[in-house]
Amino acid sequence: MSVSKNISSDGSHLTISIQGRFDFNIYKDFRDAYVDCLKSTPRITINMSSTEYLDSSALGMLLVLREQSGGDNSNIEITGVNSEIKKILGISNFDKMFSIK
Amino acid sequence: MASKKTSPDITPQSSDEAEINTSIFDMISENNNFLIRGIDSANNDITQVKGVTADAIDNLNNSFSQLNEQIKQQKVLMEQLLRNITDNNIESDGKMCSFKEVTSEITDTLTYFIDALINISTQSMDTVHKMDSIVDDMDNVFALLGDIKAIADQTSLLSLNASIESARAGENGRGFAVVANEIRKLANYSNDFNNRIWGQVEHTKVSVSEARVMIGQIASKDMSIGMTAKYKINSMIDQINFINDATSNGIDQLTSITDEVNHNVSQAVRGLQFEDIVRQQLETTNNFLSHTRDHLVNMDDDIKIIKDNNNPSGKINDIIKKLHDSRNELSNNIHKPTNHDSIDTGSIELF
Repeated sequence: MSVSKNISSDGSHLTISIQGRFDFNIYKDFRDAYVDCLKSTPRITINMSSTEYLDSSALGMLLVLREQSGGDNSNIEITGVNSEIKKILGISNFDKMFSIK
Repeated sequence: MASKKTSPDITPQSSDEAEINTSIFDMISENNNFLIRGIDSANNDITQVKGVTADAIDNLNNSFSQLNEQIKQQKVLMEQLLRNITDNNIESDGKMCSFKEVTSEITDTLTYFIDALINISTQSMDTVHKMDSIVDDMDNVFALLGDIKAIADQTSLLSLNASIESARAGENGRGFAVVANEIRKLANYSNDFNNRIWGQVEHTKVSVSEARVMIGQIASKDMSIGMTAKYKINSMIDQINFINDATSNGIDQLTSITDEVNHNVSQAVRGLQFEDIVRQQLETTNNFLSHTRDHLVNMDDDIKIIKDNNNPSGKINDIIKKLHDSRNELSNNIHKPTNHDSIDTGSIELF
C-alpha cells in the first residue's frame, strides 16, 4: 500500500507515510488514514521520506487535511522531503502553512 | 717714461705714451664691440626663449582647459549611464517602465497562476469527496432496492400460495384467486420498476465515476514547470542585479579616476605658472644686458672722444668717473631681488 499510518502510544500524534507517487490515485487511502483521528490527534506528521513525486492533487489533499484539522490552528508537519518536492512546496508557499523539515 | 700713478689724476703724456694709449684704446674699443655683439646675440636668444615659452605655455593652458571641459562632460555622461542602469528603464508600448517593475509583474503573475492551480486542486479534492459521498448514497439506494426486490419476491410467493389455497377452496375461492393474481401482477410490476430504478442508479453511478476521473485529471497538474519558471526568473533577476552592481562599481571607479585626472590637470596648470617667473627673470636679464650694452656703447663713444682729443687728461677723469658710476648702477641691478622665489605660493585659476 502506498499509504501507511502510525499512531503514537498516547494517541496524540498521527504519522502518515506516503511511498512512491503522492497523486490523485491514493486520495481515498490518504483520507481514510486521517478521517477518524481528526478529533483525537492534535499533532499530525506527513512522512515523505519515501515519496518520489508530488503533483497539484497532493497539494490539494494536504490543504484539505489542513482545513479539516483547524486551518490556522492546525499542527501539521511534513518531513523527509527531497529537493524537488521541497522546491514545489516552496513555490506554493507551503512553508508558511506547514512546518517543513 | 711714464710714471706709475694710482690716483685718477693723470699728467699730460709724451708722443710715445700717446701711441701706446691709442693702441690700448683701440683694443678696448674692439673688445667692447665684441662684447656688444655678444650681448645683442644673447638678447635675441632671450627674446626668442620668451616667445617660444609664452606660446608653448599658452598652448598647454588651452589644452588643459579643454581637457578639463571634456572630463566634466565625461562625468556627466557617466552619471547618466549609472542612472539608466540602476533604474533599468525599458520602453514598452511607449511607456517607460523599470526593469524591476517588469520582473515584479512577471513574478506576481506566476504566483497568481500557481495559487490558482493549487486552489483548483484543493476544490477538486473537496468535490471528489462529495462524489464519493454520492456513490455511498447510491450504494445505500441499491441496498434499499434489494430490500424492495425481496419484498416483491415475497409478495409474489405469497400470491402463489394464495392461488393454490383458492384453488383448494373450489367455487368459493374463485374471487380470491382473482385477487391473488392481481397481487402477483403488482409484485411483478414492482420488480420491473425496481430493475429500471436499479438501471438508472447504475447508469448514474457510472457517470459519477467518469466525472470523478475527469476531476482527477483536472486536479493532477505537474508542478515542475511552474517551479522551473519561477527559479529561472529568480536566477535572471539575480544575474541582472549582479551586472548592475558590477557596472555601478565600474562607474564609481571611473568617476573617482575622473576626479583624480581633474586634480592632476589642476596641478599641471598650476605648474605652468612657472612661466610668469621665467618671463620676469628673462626680462630682468634682458634689462641688465641692455644696460650693460649701453654702458659699453657709452664707453666706446668716450674712447673715441679721448682718441680724437689731444689733451684728454681732464676728459679722462670725467670718463673714468662716469664709468665708475655706471658700473655701480649695473651692480645694483644685479642684486635686485625677484618677487617670487618659488611657485608654491598662490592659488590658480583655470580660464
